[in-house]
Amino acid sequence: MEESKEKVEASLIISSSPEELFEAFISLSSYPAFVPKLKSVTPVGEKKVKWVMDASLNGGGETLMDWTIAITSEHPPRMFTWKTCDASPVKAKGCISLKPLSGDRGTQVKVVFQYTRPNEFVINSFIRFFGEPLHARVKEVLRRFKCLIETGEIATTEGQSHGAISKLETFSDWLTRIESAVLMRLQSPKKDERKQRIMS
Amino acid sequence: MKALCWQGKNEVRVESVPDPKILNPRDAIVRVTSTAICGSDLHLYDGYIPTLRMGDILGHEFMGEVVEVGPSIVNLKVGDRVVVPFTISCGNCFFCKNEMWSLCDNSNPNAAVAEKVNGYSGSGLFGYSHMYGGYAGGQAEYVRVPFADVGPLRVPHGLDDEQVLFLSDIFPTGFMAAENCNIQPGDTVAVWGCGPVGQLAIRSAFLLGAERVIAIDRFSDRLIMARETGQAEVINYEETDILEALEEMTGGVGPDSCIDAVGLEAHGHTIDAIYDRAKAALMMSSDRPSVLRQALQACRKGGTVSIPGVYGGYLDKVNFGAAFAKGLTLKMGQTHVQKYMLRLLNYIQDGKIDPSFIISHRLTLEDAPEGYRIFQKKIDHCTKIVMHPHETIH
Repeated sequence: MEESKEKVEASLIISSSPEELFEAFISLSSYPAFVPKLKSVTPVGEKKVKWVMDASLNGGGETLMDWTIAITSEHPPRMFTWKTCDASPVKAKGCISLKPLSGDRGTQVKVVFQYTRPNEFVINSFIRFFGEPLHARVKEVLRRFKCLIETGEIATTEGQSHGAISKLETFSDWLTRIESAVLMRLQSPKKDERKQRIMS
Repeated sequence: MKALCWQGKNEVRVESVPDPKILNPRDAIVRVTSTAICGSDLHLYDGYIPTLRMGDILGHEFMGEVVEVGPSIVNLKVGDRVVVPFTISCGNCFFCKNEMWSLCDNSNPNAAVAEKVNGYSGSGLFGYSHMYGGYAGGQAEYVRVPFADVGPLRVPHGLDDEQVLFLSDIFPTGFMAAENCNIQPGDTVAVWGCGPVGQLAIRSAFLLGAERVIAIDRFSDRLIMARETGQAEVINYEETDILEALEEMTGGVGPDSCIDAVGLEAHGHTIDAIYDRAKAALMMSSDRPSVLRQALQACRKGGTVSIPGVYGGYLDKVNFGAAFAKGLTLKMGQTHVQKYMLRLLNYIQDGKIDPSFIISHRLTLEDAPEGYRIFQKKIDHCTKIVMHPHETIH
């Protein structure tokens, strides 16, 4: 099956120094705190880590997948690059760069993320119409990281008090899950690897 | 616990829901002793604000007693009486550090939704739709307060709930509306809307040095309150041509500043107001900006139009050319509540103002659905409803 490469970029200003942010970013083991559904990050060698992601629809952890990421270059405190290892089911690479701003405006963080996906017309059309772009997901991760760095926690309403939810709301929730399922399918490089899914 | 939950347009219901719990280290749980229905709650009730979901707990004007704090909270303790700002602010981001509290970068977990609609997201708000974070509100027996080390103001001894409750929203909102006018000695300020925010904007304009305030509404009881409590000159827009009256009352130059304390659900009998209502009825428009048009038209050259009234979407037929031609300054936005709370508390303690003058009704939480109805219909001279969830009032 044909594959296509996709590149997304996201940028955000964070009230912190490049040195502190570089330290936080390069410490890959801290990522489960702000990357949704990332279950664990384990060192597996020199500048290499194994990521385990919960790829189940409901976040219950029934479907896990893992891959290995390696840091490929470091230029502290301004930039580093990474890529997934050849044996990983996910083919992706990226770069994080940090630019200090004047005064007390903090640091501009730029994330560049490239990955390879199959060309499947129906799925891609569906995603274009209904789906949340990868850019939005990368931006969301960046936003959560900023919140954690700046405030020490990530703002949430999960688990808060709520009144009864109607059947219509439940239906809407299921539509969201179907959308997520298609997004996950999109992330699978090959049909025979469907069990290995990622959600970012 | 009991909480008021949104069910759909024009329908709210008191339900039994799970008690709130600490979800983050900087959270606190507050036992609500007083909570109010805000005019902007009516925009939710009337179905004008998108992204509400059935079962959402409403309410963003509340105060109470701290009953639990998260491990990172050191400035509050169990038993403290606090007023809670309706804007949820982290205190750490660029905007909070620069006192633009309602534009906090970090408190809205649904910022992506607000970004799609508005370009960028403001802060999270209590009980004000999922676009503003989806936080459970304070028309309930208990409420979770995120970033509780930043927002809540401890209430000094000797002040009762009703004296300080409105520090949570409408007093700072009215005050910021007046402050945004950059009032100079001798200034005349025109205020559209004599609801709670308008009444407090009138009082705030005088506190900030205005010489005259002209108040505009159609309800005689609200105009009487503006005249007798607020010392304003008043105009009933159903009886008088507003633009002509303002021109005449200001020597032909117009008010130095104009405050739109009405927002997106303006009424009126001018042609443009009828046009707005027709478009809204046909679901072709979300906002009815006839007051904003009048304010832009009436304001003097080089003046300021301050907009505490809430707008939600795209505004049709707004005379922006008038604003440009006269070099007007426009100021607006959700209130930076934390910026004003201490200053306004001092005004209350010094006896310069007692905001409880606007309260017309005191209800139990169980009566909240009826409260929304009478507030919406302006029945029984309703100006402001306060509920005490843990008391029985009859």
